[in-house]
Amino acid sequence: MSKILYFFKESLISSRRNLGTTIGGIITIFLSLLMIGVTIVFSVMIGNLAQSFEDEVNVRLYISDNATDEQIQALDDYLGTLTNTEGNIASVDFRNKDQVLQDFTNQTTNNPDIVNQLDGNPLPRTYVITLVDTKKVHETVDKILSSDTFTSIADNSEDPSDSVKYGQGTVERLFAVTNLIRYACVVAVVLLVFISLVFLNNTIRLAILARRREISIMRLVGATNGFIRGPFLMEGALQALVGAILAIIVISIMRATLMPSLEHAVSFLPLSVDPSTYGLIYVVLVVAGIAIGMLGSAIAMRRYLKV
Amino acid sequence: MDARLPRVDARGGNPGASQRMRPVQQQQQRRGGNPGASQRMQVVPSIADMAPANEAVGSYADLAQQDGVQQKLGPVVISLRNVTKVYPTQPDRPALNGLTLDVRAGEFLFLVGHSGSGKSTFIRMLNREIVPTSGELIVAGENLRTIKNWRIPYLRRNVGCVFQDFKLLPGKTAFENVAFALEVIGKSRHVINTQVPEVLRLVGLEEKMDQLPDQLSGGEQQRVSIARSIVNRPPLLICDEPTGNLDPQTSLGIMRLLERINRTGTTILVATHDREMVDQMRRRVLALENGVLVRDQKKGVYGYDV
Repeated sequence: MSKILYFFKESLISSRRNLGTTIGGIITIFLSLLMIGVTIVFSVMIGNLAQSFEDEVNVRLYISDNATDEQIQALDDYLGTLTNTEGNIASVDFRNKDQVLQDFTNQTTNNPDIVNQLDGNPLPRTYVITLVDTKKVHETVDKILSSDTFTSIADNSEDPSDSVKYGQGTVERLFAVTNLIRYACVVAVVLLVFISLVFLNNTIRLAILARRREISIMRLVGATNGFIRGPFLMEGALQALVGAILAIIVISIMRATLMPSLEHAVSFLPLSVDPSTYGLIYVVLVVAGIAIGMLGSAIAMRRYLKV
Repeated sequence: MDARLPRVDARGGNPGASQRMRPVQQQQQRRGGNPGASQRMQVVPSIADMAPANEAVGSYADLAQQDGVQQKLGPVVISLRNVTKVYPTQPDRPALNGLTLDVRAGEFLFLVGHSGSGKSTFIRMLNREIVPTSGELIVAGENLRTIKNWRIPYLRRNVGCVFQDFKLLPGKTAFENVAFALEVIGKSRHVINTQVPEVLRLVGLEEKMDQLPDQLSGGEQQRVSIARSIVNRPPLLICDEPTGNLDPQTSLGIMRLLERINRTGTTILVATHDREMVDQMRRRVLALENGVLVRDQKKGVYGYDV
């Protein structure tokens, strides 16, 4: 315990002695952690956004107007068994012509003339299939297309696949983009961690250089390496902790000021990040900061502790 | 872990001891000193029992080993068997070549030789700053070629070191410099506050313990350095030209101090260029020449022509 106090005292003395580099180190780690935090928040937002798009991916089967009730009943039974056997279908919903028209009318409230100009009801009966895992949409669609029960009554009998709509292409593109953004975030975080490691390593190295005499005497009189390392590890950890706290403060401020106006500006997008995620981010920042701090100083020390 | 080497009680039962101690006793009395001192002479002496350093008067001859006095020696503390050190930059010219010798507890030795003869390599090998290339080197019961890294700090606690350039921390007072040596091996504040003033009194700096090294003379700085190296009571004290920067009178004071430390049973090895000191003190002399031990002489002399 007295050792920890000694390390603490010595690290404070050393920080005060090299105030300039200490502040530099704190600012570097603060900026890095801030960017790491912002990146995480951003990536969580992107994730939420992608999730909400993914959730909206469903498969629509258009049924020919010529189809008999028996044929529709057969398809209904087939989809029922598929739900039980395949496991990727969350629900199957049948919409008759009136319901489909109503859905369409609801979607085009901005432009009611479109519906008014319709001659009768040209919209086909539709099965709306929601999926468990939208990434496996292809497999499910292939199964439906391979079945005679659907192809025989498809709205476009010449090309049944044209009667299956699930936002082909857009889904893939969305996945590609969100994945890209996620990878970019990971790369950015790794880079930032690396940069802060290098900077912290530098500040600790300066602190070590300033105390090289002391270290050589400590070794001479038989201080253990752990004891010699202690103050520097403590110094790195303290700098990182101060940086992390600053980063948390700034992120909190941004959360309180920027987020509401951002959400207000693009209210149609689900951007909100729940408070528990913020809590987690704060914990991550503190832990990552201290880890970076101690690792940085440990690397800096390595050279000077060869026995 | 912190196994102590045996110390030799060179004073107890030594007929020459009371005679040698006389100046110290007188000084104690002059300082209104300690009536129990004579009784205490009967028990095993410790550094704490010793009086402050004497003034630098007289000559090295006062420190000579008395004829007819058998120095009481303990077990072997340093043992070299065919120790060779070759630096990678000079593969053809070993810095030390086939050294074989034993040093026993309580001895006072001089190590002499020209610059480049391997003195410093020898000294630095003893506290494992340098690893021998071949041979067997045992210090304080540790084989220094096979010692585990984590044990090296504990070895160094058993081997005090004094250098020509003092190696004091300029920002710390005499007290803090000595205390530092105890702090960094994890000694408690209580131990520090009792042992440091004691050892500073022994080296005669009790009144200057709050001064910075800059405010002390060379001799005083070396005393602080010696105090630091013995405050942990190592059984072995190695001095690399301790008087190299000091004038003759100050050097004599330092040697007096070392001799008194030796009398508490601490083994002392002094590397030096000081012919007068070696010739008059008549202690065991190891002479190195081009890395070879050319002379190992009891009551030896410096032996080189100028």
